Amino acid sequence: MKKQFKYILLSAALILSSAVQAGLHTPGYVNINGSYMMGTMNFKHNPNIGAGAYMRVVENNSIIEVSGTDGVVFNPDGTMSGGAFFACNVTQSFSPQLYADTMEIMGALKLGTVFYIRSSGIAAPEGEVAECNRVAIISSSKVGE
Amino acid sequence: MKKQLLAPMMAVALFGSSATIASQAYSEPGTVDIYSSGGDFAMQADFSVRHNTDPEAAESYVDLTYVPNEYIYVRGRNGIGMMGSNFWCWMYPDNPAWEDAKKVVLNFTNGHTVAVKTVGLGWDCRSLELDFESSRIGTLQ
Repeated sequence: MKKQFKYILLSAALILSSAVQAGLHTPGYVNINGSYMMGTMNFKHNPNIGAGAYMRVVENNSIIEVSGTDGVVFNPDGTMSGGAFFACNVTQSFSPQLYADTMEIMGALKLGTVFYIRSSGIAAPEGEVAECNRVAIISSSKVGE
Repeated sequence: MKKQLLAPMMAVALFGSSATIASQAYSEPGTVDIYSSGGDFAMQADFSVRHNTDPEAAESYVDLTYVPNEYIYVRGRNGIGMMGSNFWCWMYPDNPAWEDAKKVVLNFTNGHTVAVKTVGLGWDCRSLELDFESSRIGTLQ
């Protein structure tokens, strides 16, 4: 009787794991490539993402501050890679349209959405951090949880 | 004493199994359908397609990209490998449906179905609509 129960549990576990693996689930990521940062809001669920990786978008006194890093990866050969940092601001007085668009996109960010932000490399007159100049969002079924 | 314990345990077990049956009864696998409609290309896609465990749906997906003031890009796929078809179309801010389409992209999430049509057989999006919101889809199968 106990053996039967064990087999039922085992087969249930197998069914569950195959259900999770089926469909189109992809791991979350954060990519930083010089002038842009792009990542999925679920990257924290990816155990293989670099240590300390994050994306941050916050409105503060009419300035949207965007920052992030792709995290440090400790390679099997003892070397480290990654650790790129990204930051840019959207200043309302400098780019009112982009500010409004970014605020709207911020409100739509949820688990699994892809967030993209690009920096102009040029700071607003009153700031030191470069201004962002392009923002995008992707609502994608391809991301997992 | 043991019998007294057994009864509540049985009740809990029965309740648990009936809850499982109920959730299965109201689950539907997400799908992506690509077809022609009145001379247009069309796609109807569930965000929850990634939960579809059918091997033939393994590469099915839908993506909605919104770049403010530039474009909305819709793409999707149904099926796996050679059995699958691809769909994509672009919408620009001068399209009268732009504002509605933007809202669809910003709100699209699990449980939603999106319906999109092209202008003729080209790759300009004619419309992008949130078809319905249903509690019946989006549950892991």
